[in-house]
Amino acid sequence: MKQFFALLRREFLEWRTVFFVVTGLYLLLLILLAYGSYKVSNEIEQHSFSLQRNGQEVIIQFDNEGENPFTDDREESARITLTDQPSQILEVWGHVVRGLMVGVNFLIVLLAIFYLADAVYKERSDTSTFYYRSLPVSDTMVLGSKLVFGTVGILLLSFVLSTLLVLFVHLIVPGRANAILLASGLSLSQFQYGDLIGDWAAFHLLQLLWLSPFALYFLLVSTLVKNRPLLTAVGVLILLALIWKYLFSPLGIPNQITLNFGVFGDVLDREWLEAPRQINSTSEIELFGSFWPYVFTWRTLIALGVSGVFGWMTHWIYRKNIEVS
Amino acid sequence: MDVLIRMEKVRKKYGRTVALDEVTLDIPAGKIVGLVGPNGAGKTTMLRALTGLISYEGDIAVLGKNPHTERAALMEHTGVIHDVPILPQWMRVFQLMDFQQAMHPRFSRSRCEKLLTKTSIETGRKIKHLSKGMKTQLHLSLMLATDSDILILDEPTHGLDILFRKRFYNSVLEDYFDKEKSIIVSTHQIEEVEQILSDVIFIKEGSVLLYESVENLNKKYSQVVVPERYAQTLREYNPLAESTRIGRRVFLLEDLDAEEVREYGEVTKPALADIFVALMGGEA
Repeated sequence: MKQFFALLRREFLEWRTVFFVVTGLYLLLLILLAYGSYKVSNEIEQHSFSLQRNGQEVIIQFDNEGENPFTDDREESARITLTDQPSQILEVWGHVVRGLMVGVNFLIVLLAIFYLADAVYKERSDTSTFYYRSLPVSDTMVLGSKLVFGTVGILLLSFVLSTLLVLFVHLIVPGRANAILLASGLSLSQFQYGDLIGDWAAFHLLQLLWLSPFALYFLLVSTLVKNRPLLTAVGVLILLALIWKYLFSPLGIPNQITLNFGVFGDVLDREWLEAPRQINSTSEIELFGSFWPYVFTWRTLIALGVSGVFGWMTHWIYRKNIEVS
Repeated sequence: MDVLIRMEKVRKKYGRTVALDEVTLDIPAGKIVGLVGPNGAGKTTMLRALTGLISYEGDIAVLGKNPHTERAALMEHTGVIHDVPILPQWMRVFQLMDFQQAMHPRFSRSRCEKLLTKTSIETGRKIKHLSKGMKTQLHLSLMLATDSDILILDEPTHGLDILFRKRFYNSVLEDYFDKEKSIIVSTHQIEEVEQILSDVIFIKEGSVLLYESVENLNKKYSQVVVPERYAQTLREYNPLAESTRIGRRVFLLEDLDAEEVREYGEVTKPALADIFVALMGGEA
């Protein structure tokens, strides 16, 4: 195990810049969003008002007529009752959060593809593969470390990014933009963030399982080609998808990939868009339900079978195909 | 004496090209063996087969292990340096030592650091910023700091200057070699390793032409330099090769009683390079 962790550490050291840059950029995006909400909050707080909450109603009472910043109509009452608005506000925030989370997901898949397509190819092209093969470590362990890093490691990055997002939503938004987002703040506080993270992890584990043939496919191409592994891998995939469509009509391969995004999108819809409308609901929000029924499916079996074949081919070719030239 | 490496009828083909053709040999412990051959002779293929990098027909046992199926176990006792820099370019020197320490149970970091103090390599530098000579020195330090039983060197000083090449082989002798260990070094610059070799393998077109100790070679081959007028006499001894050197004829002879020809000219021990060229079909 010591060797395996050393190999994982090697991968991290080699690719850490990418991780730090991605995390940094994502953090920057969240900070910019936080700054936006801070500006809105400041604008509101220039006016003199008081907040009251009455059941589902949130009332903003402006001290002076005409100070309501949301309308120019002086005749409109200085008292605003936000009966319908919480769900509208939440809907907007739901889309923002959903976009950010799906964005993270998409980014992670992209990173995984870039990494896996380059993981073996890079060491073959710079001849460092000879060094690694001169160490007392099996090819299985070397390839295993790359696969684990390209899947589980990148999922950990995803976890870091999504945790940042949850912290952002939970702490920064309701805290700084309290006035305008009071209602959403109240609603957000009802969410089970632990559940959300749990669902996020469960979703990614399923994704890992179901997309493992693609991960191994990219690793296989990385061991095989003499140049441009990413282009080759993606190009062959597109070609296969087109042939599949021509023969069987549906876009089978793209569907398999995008299905995962769709599943999580549905979950987010339920978590962020529908549930908040029942603001006082204390019932737990059921997301995936039990994890296990999703695992024990034909889809999982096929994914594991295809992964096994690709894994064996990758191992076999890795042993034979040492150099790029 | 223990046999460290045993090859039996080893054959390797790349398409229609035969890179190794029925190679059979034993290499015992405590030897420094030179693997000498022209480009494309099969030297690198042989070394790759010995280190489990390629598949082959026939049998190979290195330290009693099959290199192809037991490579990981074998590498615990074997050090390898290739003809091109193979250390990961993105690593810093200290990171490489950390990694080697974690990966190799017989690596001594303190010994490696001590060896590096003899060089100008700073441990904080990135490997890609080191010169080619420094990279080779660093790799050699890693190998010397690893308690391996066999050191396999595939043209390790390729592209480096003469001073560095001398220092390299001195280090190998001083800091690594003892009677329990073996070194196999492939080269086509035989003159630079001639002084350190105990045995030599001449390889041509995948076949071993000769595998002999340097001591026996010195006994077996003689070089006779005679004036032109004795050339015909020497040709009656069936020389392996004949050439001209500053108006005199030079003959390379096998199994010769030196006393028989001493009256015609000067009898000396030929350089390995001369024997090599003669056996390869060129002139001595």
